[in-house]
Amino acid sequence: MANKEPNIGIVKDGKVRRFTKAGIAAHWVHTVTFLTLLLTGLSIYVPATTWIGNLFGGIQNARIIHRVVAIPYALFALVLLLVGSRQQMKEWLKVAFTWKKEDFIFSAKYIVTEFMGRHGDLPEADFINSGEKVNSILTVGTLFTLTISGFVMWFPETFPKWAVRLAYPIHDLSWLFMTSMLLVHMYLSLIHPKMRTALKGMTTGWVDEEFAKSHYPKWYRRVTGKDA
Amino acid sequence: MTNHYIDLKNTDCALIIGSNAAENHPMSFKWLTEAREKRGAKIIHVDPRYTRTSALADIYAPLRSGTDIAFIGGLIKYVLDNELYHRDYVVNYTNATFLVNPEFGFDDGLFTGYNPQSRKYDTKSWAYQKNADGSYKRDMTMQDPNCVFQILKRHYSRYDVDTVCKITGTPKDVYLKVAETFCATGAPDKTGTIMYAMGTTQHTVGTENVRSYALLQLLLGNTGRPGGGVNALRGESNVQGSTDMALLQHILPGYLSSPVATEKHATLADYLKNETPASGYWTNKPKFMVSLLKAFWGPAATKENDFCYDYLPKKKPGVYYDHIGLFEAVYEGHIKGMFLWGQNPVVGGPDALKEAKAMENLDWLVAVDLWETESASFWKRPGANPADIKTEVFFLPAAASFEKEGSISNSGRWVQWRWKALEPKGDSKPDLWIIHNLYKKIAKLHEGSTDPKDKIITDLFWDYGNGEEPDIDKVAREINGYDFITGKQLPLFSKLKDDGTTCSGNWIYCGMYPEEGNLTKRRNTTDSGGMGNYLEWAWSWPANRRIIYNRCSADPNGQPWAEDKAAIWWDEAKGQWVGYDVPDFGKTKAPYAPGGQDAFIMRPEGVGCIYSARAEGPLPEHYEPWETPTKNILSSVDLNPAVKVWNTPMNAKGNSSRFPYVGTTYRVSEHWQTGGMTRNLPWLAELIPYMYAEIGEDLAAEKGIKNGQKIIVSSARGEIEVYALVTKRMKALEVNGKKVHQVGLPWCFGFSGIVTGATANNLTPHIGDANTNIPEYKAFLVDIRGVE
Amino acid sequence: MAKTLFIDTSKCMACRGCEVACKNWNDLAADIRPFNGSYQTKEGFATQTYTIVKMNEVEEADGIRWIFGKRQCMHCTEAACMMVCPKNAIQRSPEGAIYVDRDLCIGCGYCVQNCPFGVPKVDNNTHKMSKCDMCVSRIENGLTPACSKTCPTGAIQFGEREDMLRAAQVRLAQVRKRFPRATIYGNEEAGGTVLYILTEDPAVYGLPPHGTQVPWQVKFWQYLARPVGNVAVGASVLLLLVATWFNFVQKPPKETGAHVEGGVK
Repeated sequence: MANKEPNIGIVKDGKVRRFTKAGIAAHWVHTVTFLTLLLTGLSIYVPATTWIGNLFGGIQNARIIHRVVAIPYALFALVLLLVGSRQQMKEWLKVAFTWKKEDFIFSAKYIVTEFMGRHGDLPEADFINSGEKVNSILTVGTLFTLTISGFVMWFPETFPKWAVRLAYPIHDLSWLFMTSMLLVHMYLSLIHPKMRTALKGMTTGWVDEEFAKSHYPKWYRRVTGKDA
Repeated sequence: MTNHYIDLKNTDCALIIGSNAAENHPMSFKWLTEAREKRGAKIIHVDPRYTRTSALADIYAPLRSGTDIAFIGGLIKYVLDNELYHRDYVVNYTNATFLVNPEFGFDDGLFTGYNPQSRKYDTKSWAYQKNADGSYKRDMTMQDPNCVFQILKRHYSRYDVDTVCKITGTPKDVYLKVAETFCATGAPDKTGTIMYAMGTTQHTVGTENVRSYALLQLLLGNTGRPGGGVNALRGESNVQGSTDMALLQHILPGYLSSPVATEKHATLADYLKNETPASGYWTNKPKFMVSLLKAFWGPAATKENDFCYDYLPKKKPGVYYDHIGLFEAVYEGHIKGMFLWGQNPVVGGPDALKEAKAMENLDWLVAVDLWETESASFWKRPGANPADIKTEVFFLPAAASFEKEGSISNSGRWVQWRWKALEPKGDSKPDLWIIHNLYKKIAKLHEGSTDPKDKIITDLFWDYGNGEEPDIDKVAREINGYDFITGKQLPLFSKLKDDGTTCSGNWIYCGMYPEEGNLTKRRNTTDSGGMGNYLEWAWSWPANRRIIYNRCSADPNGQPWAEDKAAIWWDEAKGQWVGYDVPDFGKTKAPYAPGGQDAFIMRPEGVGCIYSARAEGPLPEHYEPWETPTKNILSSVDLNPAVKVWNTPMNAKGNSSRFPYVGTTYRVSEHWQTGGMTRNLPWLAELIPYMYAEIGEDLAAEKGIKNGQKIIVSSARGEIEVYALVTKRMKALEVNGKKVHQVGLPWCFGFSGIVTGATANNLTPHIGDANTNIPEYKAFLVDIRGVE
Repeated sequence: MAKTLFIDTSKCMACRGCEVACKNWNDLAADIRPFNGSYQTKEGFATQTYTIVKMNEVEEADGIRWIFGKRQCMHCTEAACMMVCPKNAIQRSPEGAIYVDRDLCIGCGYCVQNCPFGVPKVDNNTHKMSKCDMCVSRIENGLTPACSKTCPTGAIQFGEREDMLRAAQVRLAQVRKRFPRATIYGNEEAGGTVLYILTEDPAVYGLPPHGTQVPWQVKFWQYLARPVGNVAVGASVLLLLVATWFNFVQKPPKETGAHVEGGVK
């Protein structure tokens, strides 16, 4: 990277910098690894999806790929953020783990209004809204639970039997929770008529100022110093 | 077995001594388990090693290998002292009441009449006293100092518990428990069985070991009764059959003595005169012998030519034709050719290293076996240079038992027909096919010969079909025997004649194939009386009797001693013996008729012999093994005075200062004999895949040996490298104030097969029993040391 | 219908005929291990070893004892292996035999880790689990399992569950006279498809203690974790269906305000 990349919150040509390159990379590395793990995992775990394993060259290859991909899944996104963009990480995680009463109100109202294509009178969001906070927490949380439980399952002889046996339900519960969240996340970014354009933010790193003002007014004000 | 396997279920107490029944005769435990479950029977195991049999026993008594007579002698004294013997039985059915020559005596380990030069006894002084009419003198009160009962008392008075335990190393409390438990079967309504095997016989005192059991069983009134008897668990599934058929040097089929080249056996008349007793069922011996000769030489055997008696090979007096004697002769170069028919001496023979070496002197060797055994490949054994060995070796692949038809005689004398389950593999052929075609080829070679000695071959009556395939049915028919005039099968040996009109290949099997068919094929499971005799299942010799001497199962008046111990009884109304077994007695001979209480019909005396002449005496006496860690404390005679001592290179002797531990060989469930079969079958090979020596924890600690490490076990004959199996089950014994360790060695390993290992018999001595010359595999001296 | 394999350890003499018969019927390869200083040459189950006889030397006040006990699959009526198998490859026959359908098995090994008796083993080359199937091919044809067929002493019996249970209770009373510590094992622990009379503590035979049940983790997994997870995914799907209805079928009113595009990701 020759030029120092612009900081988060920089406004330029009517767009606001929202994601750093490292942040974007982390998102997509995580997406690709998780989806690979999900598909291979499904082929291992669900009777009706043995065919998915064939896409990976058979179930035994799928089992190997599941283990191989588990390594970048467990490490790369975090490393990218840690090494590539502490700022992005701080911005994201600090907001994600800060919860106030209005966050609950946001989520409750959002689901029945905006999500269903109607206008809602919602509390103002910061860098991410409370729905995204849930997604973020689950993503980070299951990264840890899936990684740890998966590691124990991978090397069962090195761990006590009780721990190995406990790893299975933890792994199971984790992917199921993450997947249920992922479905909503993907729906919004890929299908939802009003939200899908937000995908641009995660491809270019920039969002329209208008969009930022309306969706993340608190954040917009905080990082730009401008009025929303 | 005097009884049979299923009959074990009728016992109140099983004394297993010199046998590892659970491991080597597992089926016996089916019935012992039932006896325990249904009757509350006790199981006692007496053995140098704590084995899987001990694990199943109620009482385990350790003893030093080779001290059975001391152990049993103590029990005899216990029975006599406590008057636990079955008095009515002893008085009426044994020779306890018989008077013996007053000159008979015993002093310091020797009976009267011993000649130290020849190492043989003159048995004249051992004879019974007889009345003028030739009948035996008896004292029914058993008080006469010359009666067998009193002699017995005197003889075993030295076998007190403390002395016995000093010899055997058995803890005294355990010994007394055994005595109390087993001797309780002297009660008339109880029976106890003694089960033994090669742990009993493979000693320099092997025969007398068995005799001591027989003696105890007679005293306790256990022989000839359900749940009783002296029961040899034979070492192979059909070894009973091979013994009956005389695959042995000292007998002809049906336990007729092999003729010897002396005046006593010069002609058939001489042989019959000297071999036929004056009384008892053996008075019929001429009929058996002539019928046997007729089976051998058929039409060629006539009264005029002594029924071809001269064709029988005669043994030279003083020459040993048994395994040890043969290999000594091979070693000396006297024997030039050898057939090994399912035999593997390079693993199974005593002093096996030397036996393998001896085989190098052979010009030719024919090995007939399922696999190429160590003996078939002795010329390429480790340490041998094939280029130096001139022996021409032929290997004939043999069919396994499932690949051929024929009969099997089990330990209980049941002759059971088996059918072929599958075709032999490759070129392998049934033994019968091999011998049949071998004979045909040999006969063809001698066809037309005018040399008189070839007539032994050309006159042979080989009536088993003319094709390449022998007709096994004809073999079975001839073994049973038939009438040459009528052409009909004989119903029983009582129909055999000595005039040459009948033949029988083995008189004791006469009755197995009467006119109505081959009875060994019967599979009827009717069991009258629930005693387990199954009289219509196959056929047992003699005469389908399941318990021999079963006249003893009834009291002198002909009634069962106890309801649940009934075999046969006298039915006055019918005027005959009836019951759940075929009477081993004259069917219509009433108890009150003359001889009506002579329960042992094969004996000239008509009774069971507590006192009976063997090579080393008429009563079993304890002697130490050839190699012993101690001295004989009962007399100054250490070794059985009548054994043949081979002062040859094959029998190096070790002493206890150089070789302090008692070695003993044995088999395990998982392997069969030399392992020739089992070490070539993966599923069996994997079960015990390594040769090991079993040693106790204290010996291992003394020697700094760890479980699983390699050790060297050595004897005066050789040394072997094996794994150490250190176990709590092998305990040092306190023998004559000295701690004696024992080392257990399975003898099933050799250098061929899927799994291989050192051969235990490289350590065993080349010396045998005084009567049978069976090698002393079970007690010898060894040393051990760890391998770095 | 339900059958039971009843093993009376007081009658076992460790002849190991059952081990051989098992390999014979199931055509399993031999497995030769390094010398381990014991008659029990197989320390545990293996992919080609479905049954073993445990042999233990125990020193007691009145001398040494050698204790034998045949081990194989317990064919639990509530079988942890079946519960955790993701491919439903582990199945139960009408007789109660738990067997593996090798076509469905993917060798994931969940059963290996969750069996309280340590029975299933996975072959790392074929990726198939294998274990004792109570000779299901024999018993569904009216034969007894190979081990039971070959046992010389009657230590391994096979029959109707009620009959075997009754026999075990009768036998226990007898056995206790010789072995006061004897117990029945397998009925409460695994539902009684395999019943034992143990003369000693289960640990002597390498068995888990009396009262052993399906591991709590497996129950937590099957009865709580998975249903909750499934509900979560189901709820998501439902939510998205509803949202699709509102967004695409029943079109929302035209927006006029600031919210033009974008939204929650």
